[in-house]
Amino acid sequence: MDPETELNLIRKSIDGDHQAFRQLVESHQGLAYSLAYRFTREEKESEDIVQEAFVKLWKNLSRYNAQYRLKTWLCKIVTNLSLDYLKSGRKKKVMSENNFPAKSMIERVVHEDELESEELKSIVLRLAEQLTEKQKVVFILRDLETLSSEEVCQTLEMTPGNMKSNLYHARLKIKDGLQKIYKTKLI
Amino acid sequence: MSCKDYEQNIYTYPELSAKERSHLDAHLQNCRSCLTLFQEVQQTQQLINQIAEEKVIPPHAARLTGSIMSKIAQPSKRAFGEWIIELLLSKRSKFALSGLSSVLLFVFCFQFFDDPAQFKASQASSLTNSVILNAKLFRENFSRHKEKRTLFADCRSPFQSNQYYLNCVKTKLK
Repeated sequence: MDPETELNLIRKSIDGDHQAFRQLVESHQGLAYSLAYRFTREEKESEDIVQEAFVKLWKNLSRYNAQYRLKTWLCKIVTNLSLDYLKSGRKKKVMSENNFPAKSMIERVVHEDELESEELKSIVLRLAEQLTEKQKVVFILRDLETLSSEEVCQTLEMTPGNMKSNLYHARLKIKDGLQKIYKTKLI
Repeated sequence: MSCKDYEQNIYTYPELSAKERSHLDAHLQNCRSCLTLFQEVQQTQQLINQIAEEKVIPPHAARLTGSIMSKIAQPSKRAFGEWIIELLLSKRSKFALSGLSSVLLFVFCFQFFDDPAQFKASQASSLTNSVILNAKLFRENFSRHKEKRTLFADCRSPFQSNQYYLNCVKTKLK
């Protein structure tokens, strides 16, 4: 969706046009769900977070700052809700058993061409769980959701230097983790 | 600059400015260990990019949109509820409700202290019946009191003692 159409839909939504807001929901809910799922890795919880995020967006739409894209604001809401969820302890312990390969599977020495994409995804997300909160958020937004550096800084209200520092530590830990798991060096 | 100083830039190569990149590129041409690290990082990033390319899609997108839209429609209902609360909390309704409750409390006390047995009996029937019955009893009691008051009216005198009043009442009752 181009910025002009988006802004037009936002203005209509502020005036109470539900149909315009539906279009915004339809075009952004994929990103919101994806982001929530990267944090929670639970379908139901991710859907709940997305719903809550859009309701918050609707209620506060009149305070929208046209300087930023709606995507940035939405990412901020979803990120905060996801972190609240993770801190609240509602996160089920069974999740790790359901969504990840067995520990023995991760620990075994595997050859590079054995790397199944699902398995790799699970391992990377598991490693991301061990990062600090800021490192995790920066890593998910920048590397997994492929937001630009500027968008990440805007979303997290972080300086570029702070963002780079968190990203460095996150990538370092992920690389070291992957190397430990696959034992054989990537090169 | 030492190799350690370049480490952070190796990990954050895509985030570097053009100037920082050219500095790092120049160092990588002369430093084998940094070049190895750079290649390792790039390879890890390629794996992560593979994951990023696999977009996570909501399994029930239409249902999700529907539930968001229905949640958004709810506030209008809540606004009606809020309107009711606002009305109840307004000054005018506060005065009206406090006046009504005082009247009801007065009627209740009057009835109860006048003849508690009758009041309790009325509680057994339905609300409407008890209201009618209580109103009737109230009227009867009121007229009985009025009669008594007129009967003993001439006994009352500001110039006589209480003893005189009691003796007068006793004589009238006899």
